Amino acid sequence: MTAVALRRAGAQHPEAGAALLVMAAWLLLFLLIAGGAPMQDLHAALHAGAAVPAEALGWLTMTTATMVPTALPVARRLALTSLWRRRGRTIALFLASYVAVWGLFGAAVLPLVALLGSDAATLLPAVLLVAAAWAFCPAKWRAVRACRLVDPLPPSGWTADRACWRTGVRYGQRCVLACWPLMLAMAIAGHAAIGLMLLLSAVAVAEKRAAEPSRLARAAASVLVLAACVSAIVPPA
Amino acid sequence: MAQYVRRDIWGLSETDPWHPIIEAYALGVRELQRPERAEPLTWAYQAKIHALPRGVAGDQFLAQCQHFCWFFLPWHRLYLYYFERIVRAAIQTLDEVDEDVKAQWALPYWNYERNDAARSLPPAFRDQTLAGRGEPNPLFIRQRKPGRNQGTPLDPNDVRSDLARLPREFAFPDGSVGGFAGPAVGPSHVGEVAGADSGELENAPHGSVHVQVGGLRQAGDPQDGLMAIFATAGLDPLFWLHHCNLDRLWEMWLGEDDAHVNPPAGSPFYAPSFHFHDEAGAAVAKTAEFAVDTAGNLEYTYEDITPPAPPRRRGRRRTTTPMSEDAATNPPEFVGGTPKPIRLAGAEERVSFETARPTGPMARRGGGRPERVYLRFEGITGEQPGITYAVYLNLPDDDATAADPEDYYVGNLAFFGVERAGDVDTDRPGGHGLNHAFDVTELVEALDDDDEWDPQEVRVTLSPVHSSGDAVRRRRGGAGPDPDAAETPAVQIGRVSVYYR
Repeated sequence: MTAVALRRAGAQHPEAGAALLVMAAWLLLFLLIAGGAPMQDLHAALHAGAAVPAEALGWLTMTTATMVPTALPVARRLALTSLWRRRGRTIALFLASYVAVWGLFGAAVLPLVALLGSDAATLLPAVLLVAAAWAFCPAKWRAVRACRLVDPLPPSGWTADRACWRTGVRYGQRCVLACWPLMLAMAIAGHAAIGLMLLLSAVAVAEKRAAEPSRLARAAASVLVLAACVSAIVPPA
Repeated sequence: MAQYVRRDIWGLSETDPWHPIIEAYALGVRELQRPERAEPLTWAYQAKIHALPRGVAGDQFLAQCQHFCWFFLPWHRLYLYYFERIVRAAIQTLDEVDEDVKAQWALPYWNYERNDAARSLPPAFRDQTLAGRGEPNPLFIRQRKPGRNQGTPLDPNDVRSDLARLPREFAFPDGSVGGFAGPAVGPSHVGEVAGADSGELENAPHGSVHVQVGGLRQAGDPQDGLMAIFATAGLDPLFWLHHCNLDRLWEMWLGEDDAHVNPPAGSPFYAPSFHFHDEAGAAVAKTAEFAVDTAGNLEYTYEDITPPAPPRRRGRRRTTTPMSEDAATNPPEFVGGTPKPIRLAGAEERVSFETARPTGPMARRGGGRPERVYLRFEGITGEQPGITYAVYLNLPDDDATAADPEDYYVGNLAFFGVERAGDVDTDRPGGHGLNHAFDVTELVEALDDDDEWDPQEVRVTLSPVHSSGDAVRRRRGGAGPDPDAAETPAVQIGRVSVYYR
């Protein structure tokens, strides 16, 4: 690819940097789980040495890997309608506030999961079935569609920053409403369950990006029921 | 070979307000409206193909109209084509229609640019009785904007097509603005694709005529303002003649410049299939590839596709010059806009903002001047379209100035579909606001040449069009307060902005 073509691709897709961050998050998760003894030792040491920061970091990495991809089209749209010099800032603010909302969700859920200890894993099939049932609730699809309602931002200054942050928060709230069972399942399974994370992330991305999202209800529910069955037979590591 | 010729309703009306072709249309509509008729060949079903009420999901046939995307033109062409076949078949069952008319009948088009009189509804659509028979006229609809059924003409700027036909390009990709037909994105019923704009033609005269014929929907009357609302537009028999004219304008655009072409073969434009029923009630699925051949596949031509003499416009037709590859392939660059949303409720609104120096690909290209300048209205939401607004750029503030408002005129902004723009109850629509971008390249150049363009202060005026010509009259101090301004429903515009390409 020539430099000109690369520059054009960058101009058309200002969210490319965020997409690279997502890939980095996936890579980090893969390395920690399947990257051989040194990485696995590091992973175990992190959890043993500083449990809360390690859990927070794990949740942040997992959210970046699984949920940020669902927000990339909106990030692109916001960047393309921002001043050129503010495109990166717009994406950073929007995604930071979006991830922060999921961070709050994690802060509420992870302590409960920790409290349950090893019993939490037994809840995973049930939570996946709840996610499947949620796919048939109109409220879920209203929330998915509402994720598309993004107001134009002020052009510059702190008002633009504030509006961008608020947009991320509002988008995050709608996304939590739409995808909470999926992320609850991931919180229970933990960031070591790479396969499940990939599957649930794919479901969330498909739901958010489909032109007619609610048509995916049956397919999404089927996948989730299957995942519930598998997790009941073979609990995630 | 083309078998049918679609003719101008006003040309027919000038011969006879109840010309046999017009009368046959009325009789055909009456047949479709008969209660004993079965779906899908009923009047109500044909209207539902366009759209359904809020919260009601469609299927592959119903609620399928394409808007805010480049399928706007081929979908409506196919929609008209199968409707025309259904009406023709109904007409052919009638003893009271002459055999020659049965054999030749084709949907007439409403050429509102024919002359001043043609801006009024054709007489047969205002007549309460059918061709002097003493029975109700199915072409007469009470639920139109007050005055339209008495012959009040539409505003000249609401019906002009010269600005809509200006774009050299059929469509631009997702993330871009401008183009004749609308953005090159996937199928979109009411703007499911985030941030997609309406094409130039779709905004006006398409949207403006819809809104200005239909008028306001009064509380408590769900059938009011038929033409102005997505779900009911097809219930007004005039809808079909309006869209027939828009279809003609597509042919006119193609014919008036060698550079005006449909997307090339292999384009995703030709991929999706759209579903209809023919006159036997059989399901059919067709793509845009079938639709682009009017004389061959669809067997019709238009009586006249000669471009009308354009109204005087300030500036040169720079938009007809080819765009560089760099400009065409890079996204347009936002350079400035209003910091807050604006609310339009029937009164004139003025906003101003500054623009920044472009720092993206356009700045690297050198030369300093953008190849295209767009004035964009983003994130438009509201409960109903209400009225149209005449948009002016850098119009002098002083009402008493000798400046001609037309020298600052950008276009008329219409909000057809806005009532669905924020709807998240069903997948289609998908909950986005409306967007529209006017290509103001030639106007900005002219303003710049006359030292009337200051990037530090871009001034945009939105002047309501309640009645014909009142936006300009008001600017000239000749119009009093608007009698119906207080009743005009509010529309919010998220941002008014300028983009360079």
